[in-house]
Amino acid sequence: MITKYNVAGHCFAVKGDWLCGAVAEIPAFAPFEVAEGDALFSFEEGSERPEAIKTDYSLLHEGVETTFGATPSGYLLTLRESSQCTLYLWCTNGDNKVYISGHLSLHLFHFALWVGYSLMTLPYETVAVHSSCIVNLNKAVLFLGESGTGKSTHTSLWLQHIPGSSLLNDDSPIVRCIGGKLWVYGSPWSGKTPCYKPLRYELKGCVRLSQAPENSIHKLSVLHSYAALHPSFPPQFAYDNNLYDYISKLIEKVIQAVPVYHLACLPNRDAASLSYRKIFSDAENS
Amino acid sequence: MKINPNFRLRDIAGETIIVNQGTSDVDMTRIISLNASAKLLFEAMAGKEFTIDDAAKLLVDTYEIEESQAISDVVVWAQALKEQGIIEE
Repeated sequence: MITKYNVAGHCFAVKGDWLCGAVAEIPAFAPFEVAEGDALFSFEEGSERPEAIKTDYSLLHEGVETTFGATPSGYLLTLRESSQCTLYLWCTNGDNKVYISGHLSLHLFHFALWVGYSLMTLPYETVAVHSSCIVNLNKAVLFLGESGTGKSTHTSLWLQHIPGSSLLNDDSPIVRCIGGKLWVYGSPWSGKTPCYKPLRYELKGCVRLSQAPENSIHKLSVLHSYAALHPSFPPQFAYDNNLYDYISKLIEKVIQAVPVYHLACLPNRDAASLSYRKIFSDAENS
Repeated sequence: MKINPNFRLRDIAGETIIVNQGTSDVDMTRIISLNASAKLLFEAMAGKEFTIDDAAKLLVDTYEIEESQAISDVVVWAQALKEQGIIEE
């Protein structure tokens, strides 16, 4: 059994009854299923799991211990909920297969697919950006910030108060550079908001949010733009120079293509109006 | 002293930076910006043991400045990078 999906213009296959059955149980993937296409890579059940020789990243979050690191010839992701409930994902450099073994808990599997997809598409100038993404006037705006800063709150204010706004994704839209132009795609990963849209829009700008007692917005220098974008790119890949090279080059492409702002804001209508005006009017070609 | 080989110079839209990621359990990413002479020193001293005098000589030869000035500039450069763990004893 094979099912195929197309996310951000990259087609991939999920092979075997075990994995296909599991993906079919994740509603977020249904809008991205395609009948045919040349798969760039595939997810398959794996048996001979390699050992990690270096741990780049580990994090304990909501009861799940995430470990990511290099193996002698690739990368290994371990998602451990308990000793009985551990999922493994690995790949080998130069190969287009992503192997999965262990316990297929759906939320672990959903996240593992994000890591596998990201590893396979990074060389194609494609990366998931932790952000909430609004579409207006046919262009996409990414709102970035640490968890709890109010990204979703701010984009919901746009939906309420800025006519013509829609939400493309609330947690992990995919940014892709094609011929120097930056596009933002909906994805099957959208945090707690079920917003799974197989659509793309040209990137208009990025806004890093922070909470403040009053609203203000300003455009950032190259250096501050880099610092504003960097934390929202996949942290799992930031400790490996080869993977981070791809990320660093993509951040540069974003900075060259669109303005990056810092918005200090309250959770109110004026904050949404301010960011809208800055991004869509006086920021034109600046 | 020597430059920690884990750090790479990155040319980003006309700026030269080093990303100091820190470790995943401490959220301490720092973006360090290098000017032209700091970049010159980094590139010339990477991958080998060097002394303050070695680096100062490069500045004297390149910019035709006084040795005392070059030494004080290199000390500032080395100290700043040591604080980030980019230069190690």
